[in-house]
Amino acid sequence: MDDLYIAVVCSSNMNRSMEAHAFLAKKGFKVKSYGTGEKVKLPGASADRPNCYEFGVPYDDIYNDLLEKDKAYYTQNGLLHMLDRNRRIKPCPEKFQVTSERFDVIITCEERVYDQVIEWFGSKRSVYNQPVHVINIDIQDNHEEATIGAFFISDMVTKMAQSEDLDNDIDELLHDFESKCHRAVLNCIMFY
Amino acid sequence: MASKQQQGSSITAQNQLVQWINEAGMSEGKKKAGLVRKIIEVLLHQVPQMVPVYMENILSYMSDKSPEVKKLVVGFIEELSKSHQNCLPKIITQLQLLVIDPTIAVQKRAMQAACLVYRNILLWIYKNTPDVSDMQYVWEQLAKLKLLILNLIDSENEGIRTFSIKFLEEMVILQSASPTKDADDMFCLDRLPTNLPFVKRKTMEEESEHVFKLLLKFHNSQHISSNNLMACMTTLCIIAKMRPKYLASVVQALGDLHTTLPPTLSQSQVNSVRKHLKMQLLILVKHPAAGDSMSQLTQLLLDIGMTPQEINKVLPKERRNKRLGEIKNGDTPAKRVRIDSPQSAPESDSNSNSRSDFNLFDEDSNQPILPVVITKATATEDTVFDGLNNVENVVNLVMSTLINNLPTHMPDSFMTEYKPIPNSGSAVQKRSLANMVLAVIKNEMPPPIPNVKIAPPMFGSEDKIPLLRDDEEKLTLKNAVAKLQESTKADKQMENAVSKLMEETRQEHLKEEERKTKDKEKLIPPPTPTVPKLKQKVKLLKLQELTRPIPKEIKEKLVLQAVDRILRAEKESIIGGATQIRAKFITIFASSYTPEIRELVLNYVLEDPLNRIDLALSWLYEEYAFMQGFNRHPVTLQPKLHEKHDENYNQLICALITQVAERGDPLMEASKDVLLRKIYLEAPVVTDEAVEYLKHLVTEDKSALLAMEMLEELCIMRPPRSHKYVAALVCHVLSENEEIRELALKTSIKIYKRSTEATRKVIEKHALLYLGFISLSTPPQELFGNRPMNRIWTDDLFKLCLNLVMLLFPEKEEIIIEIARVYGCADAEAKRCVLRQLEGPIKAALNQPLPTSEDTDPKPGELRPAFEALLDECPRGAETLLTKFVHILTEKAPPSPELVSKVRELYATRISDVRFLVPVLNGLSKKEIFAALPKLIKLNPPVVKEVFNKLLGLQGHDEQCPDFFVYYIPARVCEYNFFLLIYDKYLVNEICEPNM
Repeated sequence: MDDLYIAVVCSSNMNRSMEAHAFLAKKGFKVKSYGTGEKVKLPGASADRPNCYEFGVPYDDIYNDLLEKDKAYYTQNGLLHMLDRNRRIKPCPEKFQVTSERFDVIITCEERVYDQVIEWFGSKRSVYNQPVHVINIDIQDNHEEATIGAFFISDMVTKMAQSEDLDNDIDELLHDFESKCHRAVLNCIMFY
Repeated sequence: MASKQQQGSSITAQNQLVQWINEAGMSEGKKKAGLVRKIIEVLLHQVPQMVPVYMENILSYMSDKSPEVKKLVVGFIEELSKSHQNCLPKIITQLQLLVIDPTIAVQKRAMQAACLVYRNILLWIYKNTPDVSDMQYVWEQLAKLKLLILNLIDSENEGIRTFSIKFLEEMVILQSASPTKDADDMFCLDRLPTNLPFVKRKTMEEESEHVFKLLLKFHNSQHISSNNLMACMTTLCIIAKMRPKYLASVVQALGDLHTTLPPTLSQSQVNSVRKHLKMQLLILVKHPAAGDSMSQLTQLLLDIGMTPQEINKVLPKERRNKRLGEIKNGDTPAKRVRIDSPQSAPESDSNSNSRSDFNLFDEDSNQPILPVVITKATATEDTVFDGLNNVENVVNLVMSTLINNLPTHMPDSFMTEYKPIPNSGSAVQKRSLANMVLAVIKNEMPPPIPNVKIAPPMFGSEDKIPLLRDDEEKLTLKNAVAKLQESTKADKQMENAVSKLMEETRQEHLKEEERKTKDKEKLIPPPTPTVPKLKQKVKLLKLQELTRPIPKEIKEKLVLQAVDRILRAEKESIIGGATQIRAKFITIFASSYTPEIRELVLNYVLEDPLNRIDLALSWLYEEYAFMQGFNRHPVTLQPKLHEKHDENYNQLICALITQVAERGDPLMEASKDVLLRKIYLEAPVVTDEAVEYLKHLVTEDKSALLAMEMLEELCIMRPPRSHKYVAALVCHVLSENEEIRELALKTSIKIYKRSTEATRKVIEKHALLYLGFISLSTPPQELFGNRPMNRIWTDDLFKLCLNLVMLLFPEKEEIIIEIARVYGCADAEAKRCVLRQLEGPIKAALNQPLPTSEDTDPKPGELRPAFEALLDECPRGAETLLTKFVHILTEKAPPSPELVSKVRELYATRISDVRFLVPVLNGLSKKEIFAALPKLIKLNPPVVKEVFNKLLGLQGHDEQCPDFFVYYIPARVCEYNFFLLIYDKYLVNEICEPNM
């Protein structure tokens, strides 16, 4: 299959989707990343006070905001580093529900995100009848897991790209992937 | 000015277009795809007015071999259908071709485009353009296209099926009436113009229904793949949303899916499908059109494992309130969901219409039941459910059913389909029972007792349910009705009802299972876990289940044919360089399988033995390995056939030899000696039988010499077993054929000289055996072979027997003792013959150096050890032989003192014949001579003459040893005189008494 167009989606388009985005982009895939949440949420000084931003606020701005709030703390917990990486990849977090792009494969990093993606597809009428495989791999929202998850995603996407006929092979491909990575995968096919 | 500029740019664009089109014509692959993409882009967006001019150019790329280019053409067609609808008549046929393109990617792209094109065609028709004939043409072509894609739902490619599903969804929606007059739902049947004769709404609607049914069938088919299933689910939900008239069927189908997932799905696919089902149901629930089927939907959601709170959260606010209001008014339809039911008893109930009091749901089945008079009008699922909680009621019901409805014979369908109800007695099962009983009640009360075969008594009345199809008012029965509607084509209604029942119970059971895992805090008494095994791995093919063992005869025949093909593939194997492997195969087949294969291979070898002898030999080696136990037969092979390992080897080698030797065809005849020689010399072991055959061959005139030669070669070249082979050779020394006899003798001696002790022994044994014959009174049969003859000894026969031993004598002088022994026992004729025969060899031996000390010359007087032993032993009856022997010894040389002493001793003890002394006379002392003289003089004149010759030293070789005279004459000169006197007297006596 030539030139798969891939979307990686997580909740805030900050950690997991961006890690995978960076990884896939480095490997030369045509990839975009999104978040499905209401807002971009980042851990704050305490659990009940997260830092919330609208989608569309540049990573750079968020970076500066956090820098201002508590440089040491956000450096120590890695947020600044992450934001720094993100702003090198693209300008700002994007919300999945507003994009008009049509992908071949959408990879979600959490079941809730998967649900939201499916729901979004269900909420609108398909116009182009272009199929898209939506695949969920559960990845915990922390640095380490995001890195491991990105490896898995890259692995899977590589296999997909090697497939001559993805629609026909996806079942087997995912089955292999599951048994190899010992991670449950959800998938379905939706239409644009 | 602006228009001029525009014109200018248009011309530039056109020039550019032409240039690209030319370039594309000469390029390939990616470059061409890039060019085509640019051409299409520029044509459609910069110079759309030129589309009719260049359209053909682009459409012609359809026949390009690159799928990429073809896909671009499809995109172009798609675009044209939207923006240049007057081109539709031209492009519709092209699209048809692309839909059946051999490349799957192109096919899929074309099917995707077909959806859009279909919509655009409708738009075009709505516009009602004047050219009706064009329209009709397009319409007809469209019908063909639809049929093509419809058939693709059976494609082997999953992706193509998915696209087909999507197209069918489009068909169902476009060809059915829309309930709402929404502006956004611009495609529906109602909008089709009525003035076109070829557009028949009725037909289209029927088509749409048919396709919908097809989709349902596909959705519920057993072997649907997970992706197709999910695509189909989505499609059905979209149809349900857009066309609410299908909603009930869709909900039913989803319900069925939940209970009976395709068995081919793997665990994770099951998870995905369940998840998808849930998502689709949630989407449906939220849709305003879902109102009518809300109860089923919520029930399904509960079944899937959602809590009522979760469901409630999902529902739009106004509907939540509405439902509460309905409950209060009590005028709700028969079946409905109580959304606010507490989490603790989610499955205890979901339909609560008859009572407005929510407390009802806190009560257990144990709670005493108020006597309720159930009439047809008041009966609801709940009242029936309550009734079922009463033991007495149930007993009565069962009894009456047993008495009235139980058939005398168990129906076959029941036998095959009945499975124990896993969760019988649980609230869930009672609920579904209540549902079914209600269905019966609502229709007719009391249920008639038809003489239909009836399954389990409790559900006997199920057979009436199909009748309800006509009764559309009964909302509560929608569930059951919808189920039955689907399967109207099923043969028997009864069977249907039973199978549905099975599904019901299974469904309940599955619910339990799921809940158990999902909400562990809820303590539901777990029913006996006999989960139907739905979760299997993808593409788990169990060959054993699909195949049957082939009957033995056919198997053997197939094996035989296979071997035959391998045998016939001699040339091919050489070309392919597989000669060695082939040979290996053949030998394994031949040695390990049935006698038929052995025969086949043997015949094959014998067809062209000269070229296939190597194959035969490797087969022999294989058999040898089995015989010796180096190889083991695989356990799968029947041991019976191969009990006699050695037999196989022996049989094979004998078969080969005899066939080669006796077949007699000219080809074989020419190469016979080469082949036989090769077999005998190269086979791992020459069995006794094979040796025997060779022995037999010697008696055949044609092959005698060859056989002899081969025997010789065998003995010499294969020394370890030559003692076995030599016997076959040695026996021919008795052959009546002189040539063979001579050869046998010569060869035997040759072998004797060269071979091992064991072989020598065999030869000696034979020699002695034959020697022994002469002591027999009549010649034994061996001497005559098979010829019937008078068994009388002749000189020739004696010679025959002595041949070998005489030849052996020079090699092994000790054998003379044996000869002497036999001689002792033999009669006079035989003795005479022996004496004659022995003379030569002994004389020859005396001229030979001693076998033991070859480096030194024979000393004239020295006794050879064998002779000495003979003299020591002196077998009985062999005195004459000894005398002759001593004579020979002293013929050429005077007796050595050693010999003299031996003779003297013998004379004193064993041999009293004075003649024995004659050869050694001149070694004796004077006294001895005098003592013997009187006897000597009485002997025959020739002997007496010899005596005196001896005494006087007149021997043939005396001049060779003058010392002898020097020694004798001076010392005994007086004795001479004496001897002369005696001699004279002897002569006188002889003259006077000639008869003495």
